[in-house]
Amino acid sequence: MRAGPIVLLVWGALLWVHTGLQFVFGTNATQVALLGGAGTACVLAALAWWALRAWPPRERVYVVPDLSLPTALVAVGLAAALVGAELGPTLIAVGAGCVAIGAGGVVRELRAERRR
Amino acid sequence: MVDTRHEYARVADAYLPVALVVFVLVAGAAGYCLLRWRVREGRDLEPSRRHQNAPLEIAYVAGLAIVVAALLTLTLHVEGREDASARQPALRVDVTAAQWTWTFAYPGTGVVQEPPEDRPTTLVVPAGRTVVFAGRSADVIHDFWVPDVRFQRQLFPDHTEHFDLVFAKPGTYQGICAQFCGLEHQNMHFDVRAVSPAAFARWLARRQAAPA
Amino acid sequence: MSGPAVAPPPEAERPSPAADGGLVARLGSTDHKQIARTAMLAAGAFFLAGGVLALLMRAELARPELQLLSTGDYNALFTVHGSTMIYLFMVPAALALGLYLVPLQVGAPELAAPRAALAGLWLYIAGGAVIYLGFLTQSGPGRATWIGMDPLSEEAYTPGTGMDLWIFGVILATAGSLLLAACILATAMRRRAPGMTLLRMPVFSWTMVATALMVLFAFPVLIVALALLWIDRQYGGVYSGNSGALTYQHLFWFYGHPVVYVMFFPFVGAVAEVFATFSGRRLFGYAFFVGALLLFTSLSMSVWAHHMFTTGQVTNRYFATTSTLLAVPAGVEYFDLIATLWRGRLRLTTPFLFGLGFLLQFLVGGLTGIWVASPPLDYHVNNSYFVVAHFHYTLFGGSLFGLFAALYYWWPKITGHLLHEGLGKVHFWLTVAGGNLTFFPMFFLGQDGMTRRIADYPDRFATLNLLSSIGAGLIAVSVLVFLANVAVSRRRRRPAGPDPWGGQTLEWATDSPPPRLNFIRPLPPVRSYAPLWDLRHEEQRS
Repeated sequence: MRAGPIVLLVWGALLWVHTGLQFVFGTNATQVALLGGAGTACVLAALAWWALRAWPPRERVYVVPDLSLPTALVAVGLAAALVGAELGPTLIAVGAGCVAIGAGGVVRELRAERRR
Repeated sequence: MVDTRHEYARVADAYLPVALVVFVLVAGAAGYCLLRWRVREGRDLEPSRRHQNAPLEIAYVAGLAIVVAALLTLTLHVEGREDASARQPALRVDVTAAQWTWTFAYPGTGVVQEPPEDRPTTLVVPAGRTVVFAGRSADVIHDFWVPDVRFQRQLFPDHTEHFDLVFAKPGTYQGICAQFCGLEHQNMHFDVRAVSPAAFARWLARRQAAPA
Repeated sequence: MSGPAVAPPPEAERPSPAADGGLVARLGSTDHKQIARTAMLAAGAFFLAGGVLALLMRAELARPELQLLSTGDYNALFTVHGSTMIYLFMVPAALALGLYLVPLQVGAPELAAPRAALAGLWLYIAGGAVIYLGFLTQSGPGRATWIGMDPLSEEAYTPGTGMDLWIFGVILATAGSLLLAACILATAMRRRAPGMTLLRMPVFSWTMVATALMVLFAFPVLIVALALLWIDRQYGGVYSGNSGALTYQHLFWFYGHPVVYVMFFPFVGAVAEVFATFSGRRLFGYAFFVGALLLFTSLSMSVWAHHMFTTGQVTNRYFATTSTLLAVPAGVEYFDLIATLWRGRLRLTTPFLFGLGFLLQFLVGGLTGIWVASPPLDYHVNNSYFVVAHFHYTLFGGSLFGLFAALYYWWPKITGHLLHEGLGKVHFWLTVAGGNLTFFPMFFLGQDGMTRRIADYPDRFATLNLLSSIGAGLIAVSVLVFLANVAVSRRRRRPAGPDPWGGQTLEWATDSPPPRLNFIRPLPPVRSYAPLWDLRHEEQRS
C-alpha cells in the first residue's frame, strides 16, 4: 500500500510550487518558512510513511478491545495536567496521576492484544 | 494623486457585475435542472449515464481562467497605484493611536491635535491634495479607517506605517478604529475635516499662533 | 427504495458494549461509529451554546446604544461565540462526520488506530469545557476575539485567568481535532477494501483526505502560536513590538485560513454524494473534481496573509493572486456538481434541498470572498460587517447547510430510522429565510462603514441591524424545528433499511446502523467510485 506516501508527496510538492510562486512576487523569510516548511514537513512525512509502509505487519490481525477506558483517562488526565499550569499544582498532580494510571491500562491492553 | 475612493469604485464596478452574472448563471442552471429533470407524478426519467466530458471541462477551465486573470490584472494594477507612495505629498501627518484615542501631529509646525474631553480628535487636511500619513500605535494594534475614502491601514507598535490619502472634496468624514482593541474599541473614533487648501493654511497658521 | 433490512446472523456480530450506546460506551468505546456519535453530540451541544451567545449579541444589537450588556460582556460573548463555532462546533462536526463515514465508505471494518481517535475525542471535549470554565472565573472568559490577536491578548491588555483558559482550551480542542484527522487519513489510505484504488475512493472520502491534510499541516502551527502566547503571558518577551505582533498574525492565519476549508470541504464532499444519489447519476467529472480538490486545498495553505492585507507589511500581490486563483478549482467543483444534476432524475428530498441551499448560499460567500481577495476592495471592507456577512455566508450558508444536508442524508444510516421529510422541509425554508435575513443586511452595514466587534452603533444603522436581529430569531426557530424533527422521528422510528435513498457507495451496502465491524455480508465488487450504482445497473442489464 503506497497510497498514503503518494498523496502526501503530491500535496507536499504542490505546497512547494506555491512557495516557489512567492519568489515571483518578492517575499520574506517568514512567509517562505511557513509555507515551505509545511511542504517540507509533508514530504518528510511521505518519506517516513513509505519507510514504515510494512508496519504494522498486515498479516497480524490486531484486535483492539471494544472498550478502552484507560485511553480516555489518558486524554482527560493530559487536559487536567495542562490546565493545572494555570489553576494550580494540585490539578497537575491529579492529571499526571490519571495519565499514569491510564497509560498503565493501555499497556496492559496492548499486552493482551499481542497474546491473542 | 491616487483617490482611493475612486480606485475602489473602479475595481468594484468590474467585480460586482461579474459576481452577479456568476450567481445568476449558477442559480439559473440549478433551477433549470430542477424544472426540467425533477421527478413528478406521472413522469419518470432515465438519468443520463455520461459522467465525464474532459474537453468540455478543459474548455470551461480555460474560460474561467481568462475571467480570473482579467480580474486579477485589474486588482494588481490598482493595488500597485494605491500602495505606491506619492513623490511630492502636500502634507505629512503623524498619526498615533493608543487605547482609545487618536493624536494627529503636523511635523515641522508644532501643531498637534489631541483628543478633547469626551470627544473625538479632529484631523484637519487640505481637500484635493495628497496627504502622507505616518501611523504608529502606542500599545495594541489599531486600524485607521475612513469609510468615505474606502481605505484603512493597521497601525502596529514600534513600527511606522506610511500611506497616502486624498480627500477629494471638502467636508467632514468619520474615522474609525477598525481593529478590535479592547474595552472602548467601539468609541475610538476621529473626525476628518477636509477644507480648501487656503482654509487649511489659515487654520494651520492660527493653530501655530495659538496652541490649544 | 430497498426492502427492509435483512437481519444479520447473530453469531456474525461481535458482542459489543458499544452497540447499546450506553454511558460506558460513550466514555471509552473504540468503535469509530460510537466515537463519532459522541463527537457529533458534543459538537451539537456546543452549537446550541454558541447559538445562544449569538442570540444575546443580536438582542443587544437590535437597537442602538447599550441595553442588555456592558461592552466588556459583549466582547466576551463574541470571543466565545466565534471560538465555539469554529474550534468546538464546525471543525469537530466535520471531522466526526468523516470519522463515522470514511471507514464505511472505503469498506473498512475498523478505524486505523482507534485509540488515537478516542483520545482525540476527549481532548476536544475537555478543551471545550476549559474554554467555558472561563465563565466561572472572576475575570470572565477570554475576550480577545477568536483569533486572540497579539498584543491585545498579552497579559498587560487582557489580564485574567479566563484568557489563559481560552488558550489552553483552544490548544486541547485543536490537538483533539488533529488526532481525529490523522485517524481518518490513515484509515482512508491503509484500510480500503480490495479493488478500491485511490481513484475509486468515494468523493466524500476524498474530501476528508484533503481536509485531513490541511489539519495535519496547519493545525500544529496554531498549537505552537498559542503555547508561545501563554509563555508570553507568564514570562513575557515572546511576541514583542511590531515583529512579535506580525509574527503572531502570520502563525495564526497560517492555521486560520486553512481551517476555513477544513469546515468547507467535508461538506462539498457530502453535497456531491447527495447530488449524485438524488440525481440517480454518478458524480460528473470525478477525476477533475479530485484534482481540483488537491489543488484547492494546497492553494488554500498559501493564501493566509490575505487576512493581513491592511497591515501593509506582507506581499499583498502574492496573496491576492493565490486567493483569487482559488476561483478556478472552486469553479471546477461547482461545474461538476451542477453537471451531476444535468439530465438526471431529480428527487427533491430534504438532504437534496439542503444541498441546493449549500450550493447557492455558499456561492454568496465565495463570490464575496473573491471580492475581499482584492486588496483595493479589502482596504475598505476589512474588519467591517461586510466581512462578517461574507464569512457567515461561508460558514452558515456553506458549512451549516452542508452539515444539514449530510445529517438528513446519513441520519438513517447512523440511527436506523428516517427523519420526517415534512418537518425537514420546514426546517430548510426557515433556515434559508433566517440566514439571509440575518446576514444579507450586514453587507450593506459594512459597506456603509459599520465596523466589527462593537456593541453600540450610530443610529443610521438601526433598521438593518433590527432586520438582522429578527433573522437571528428565525434561525433559532429553525434550529428548534430541527430538534423537534429529531424528537418526532425518534418516537416514530420509521425503519430506514440498509439503503433508503438508492445510495452509490459502500456505506449503503450494510445495515443501518452498521454492526460493530461494519460489514457482515461480503462487499460488492469495487470497480469505480460508485460501486452500488454499478451493481444496480448490472442487475438492470442482466
